[in-house]
Amino acid sequence: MLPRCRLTRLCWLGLRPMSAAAAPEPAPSVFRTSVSDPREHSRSDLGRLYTVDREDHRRLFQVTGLRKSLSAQARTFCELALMVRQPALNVLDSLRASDPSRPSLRFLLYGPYGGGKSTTVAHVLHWAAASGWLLVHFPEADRWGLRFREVTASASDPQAVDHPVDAALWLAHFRAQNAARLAELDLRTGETYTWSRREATEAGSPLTDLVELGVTRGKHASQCVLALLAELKAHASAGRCRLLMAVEKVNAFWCDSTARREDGSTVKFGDMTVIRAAEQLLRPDWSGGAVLTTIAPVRGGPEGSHLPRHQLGADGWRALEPFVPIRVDDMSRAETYTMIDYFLERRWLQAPAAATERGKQELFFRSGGNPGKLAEICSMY
Amino acid sequence: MNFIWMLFPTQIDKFWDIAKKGAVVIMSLGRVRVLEALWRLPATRLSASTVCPTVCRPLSSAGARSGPTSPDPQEQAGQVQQRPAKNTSKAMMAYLERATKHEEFMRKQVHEFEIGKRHLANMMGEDPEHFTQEDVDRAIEYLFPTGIFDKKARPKMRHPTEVFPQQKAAQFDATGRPFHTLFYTLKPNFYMTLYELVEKMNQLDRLQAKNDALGKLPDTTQKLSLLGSEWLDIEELGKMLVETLKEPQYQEFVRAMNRLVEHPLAYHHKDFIFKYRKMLRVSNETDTVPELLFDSAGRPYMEATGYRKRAVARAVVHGRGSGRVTVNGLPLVHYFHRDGGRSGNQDVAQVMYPLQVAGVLDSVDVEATVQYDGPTQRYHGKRRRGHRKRTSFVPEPWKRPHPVQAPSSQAGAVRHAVSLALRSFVDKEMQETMRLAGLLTRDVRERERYKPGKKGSRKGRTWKKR
Repeated sequence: MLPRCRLTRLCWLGLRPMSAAAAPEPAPSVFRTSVSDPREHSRSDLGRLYTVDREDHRRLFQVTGLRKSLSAQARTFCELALMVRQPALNVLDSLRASDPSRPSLRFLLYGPYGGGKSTTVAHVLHWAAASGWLLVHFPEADRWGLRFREVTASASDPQAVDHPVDAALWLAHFRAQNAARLAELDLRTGETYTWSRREATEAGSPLTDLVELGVTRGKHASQCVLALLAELKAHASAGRCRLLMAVEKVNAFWCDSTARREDGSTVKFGDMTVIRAAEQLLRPDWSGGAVLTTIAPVRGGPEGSHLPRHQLGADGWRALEPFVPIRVDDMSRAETYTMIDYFLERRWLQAPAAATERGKQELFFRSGGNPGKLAEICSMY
Repeated sequence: MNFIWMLFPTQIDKFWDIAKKGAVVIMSLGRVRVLEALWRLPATRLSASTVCPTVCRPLSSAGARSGPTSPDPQEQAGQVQQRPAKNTSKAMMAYLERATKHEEFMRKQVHEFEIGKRHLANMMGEDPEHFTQEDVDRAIEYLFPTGIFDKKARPKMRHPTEVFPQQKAAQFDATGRPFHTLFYTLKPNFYMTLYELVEKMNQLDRLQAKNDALGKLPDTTQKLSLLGSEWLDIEELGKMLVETLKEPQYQEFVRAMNRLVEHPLAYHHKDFIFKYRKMLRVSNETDTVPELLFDSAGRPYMEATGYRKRAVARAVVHGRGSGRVTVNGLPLVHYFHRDGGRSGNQDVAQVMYPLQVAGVLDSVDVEATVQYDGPTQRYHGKRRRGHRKRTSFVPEPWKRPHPVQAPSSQAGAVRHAVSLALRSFVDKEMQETMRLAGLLTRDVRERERYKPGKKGSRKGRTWKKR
């Protein structure tokens, strides 16, 4: 049983407790940092924006992966600029310091809606990719049960549910993120997977075969995901690779979906093959990697507090505990001014008043420092 | 005798020539300058015309220079030429009767009022001798408690002059001779005022000439200050003079008064000027802005309560802050998270408004608690199938952590509370700016009641032609 006290727990997991002191915030006029390699980000870059390299941007987020607003902004500004913030640095510090032989760390990002949780995940993914980790990224976990394209009854388990189209698309996303690294690592399957009487993936075949099969054959895509993640889990535990799984809106895993079986019964998220695949990696029984999760309000989820215990529910709490909770709060005044300076530089904010001290005060007040709200306000006028 | 009908003051020269020849002048009504010219004529030039009764009453030689005086029949009876008694027409009789009746009536009412006041004082156990109108009001309020909203509909006991509209007393005697010199202008009191005004102007001019000769300058310390007052408006002036005035006449009056006021020596006639000015109502609130309080840490703060529709808000504004605003424990932007759509979250902007005007966006902290104390808000708009609202930052209703009842009234109440509290932090000028911005006024607009036969307060049922 893990100790309940957070501090003791961190020590048990092999981490030093982090200090709460933040670096002094930079002058507002210098809002960019030239350090574009996330491996070199440090406290001196706090509160500044860094530009994600074009290649990395394409590789990591081409298919999916960014929030719609952020990817639209990247398209408009011809660059993806992310702010280096304290929560992300905390996660990166922990990941750098983590011991691959110990059980995988689980992080939970929580905070107000629009506060920057997904953006933090994007930053950490970029770091992991640059550091040679493999990425298993579920951008919107609630989509599997709420806005899915198609679900079918699973062949192996009649109660389970497959996603022919969505799983194939997800595998394409996985492939885009990890193709190069997978080729380098040359990981192989540990067992044989039989898809049908004629089709099978032998043990010892490269993992890319599994991926390719899933992308092309939607019928087996969900099972491919299940197999793939099981294999990756084994490889990471064996020390052959470092693996980062990022699940956004993980609290959806313990909700009801809108899918219905033929007999009318509700399909839970836990009945979905792909979700079960992800849940394999949520368990604390593997090492050599980390899990980064986010909670957010989802339809069908509990209303009320945004805090982890309430949103996860009893089942989710039991499944995820122990984890490292990291609060992603609204931006400070300096960070907001940085964002405004960026918008001004990109000619997004056109009114001359936006460049004045008074104008910035008003924008900060109106948005409350919330990045999502600020973007919404700035897009209206 | 020659008669000249004077219509325009530009013809004054012509008028002089002919008047010198001994003509009788029938003056045109309503021109101040003509009056002026008229009174400059030596009295002997004017003779009471037996031909036309519209001629002004001739002046006695004694009172010639001073112009027309207030009518006082007893004084002038001896001086005026005796006129033969005429038969008074029925109309005149009726008028006289009405006027005397009204006078009688008013006298009786005043008498009754005074008696009633004494009775009331005895009833309340107070001294009848020193029973003021305020005491009367309080007594009536006590004896006749009422819940009527309209203050004018509540029972009251006032002096008859306040209750009954003033009428003029008889304007002419039994022979038909009017008492007032300017009776035939049809607005004697008004033209009397104008005449006095001109008289005073002339007097000031003469005084100024005398001062110039002596080398004396006007006294700047006594300069008239019209700040905080304005001219009586047309109705008020009409009420004071007991005459209905027309707009051009009123404009003439205001123009003339302004000319008098501009005179450097106008302070000599301060009483006359201020008789026709009303003081602007000074708001109670600006007089009693509370002093800043200080908490244990030495931080200045102020509390205030604000209202809007059925919402009540209590705001505590702390100085030496950093612009944090919390409402009911939540940050402002998270409490008022109504789907802004095109309005761009009007509720947050409403709360920002007083801080913006006062320029304290980043230097005060606000903690507000607000409560909506009214009926449950229902959706009143038209629901259309397939119509999707523009996506915005705020998650869909099922995702929202708590519904905020009536957000706009709550935001308005918070704004009012913050504005009232901010008064203590800012100087008089800024307080006035805030007042002019409408921040300190309690918005009295309430929801209009539903009426049967309508869908709501105004919207009617579907009209069918047949």
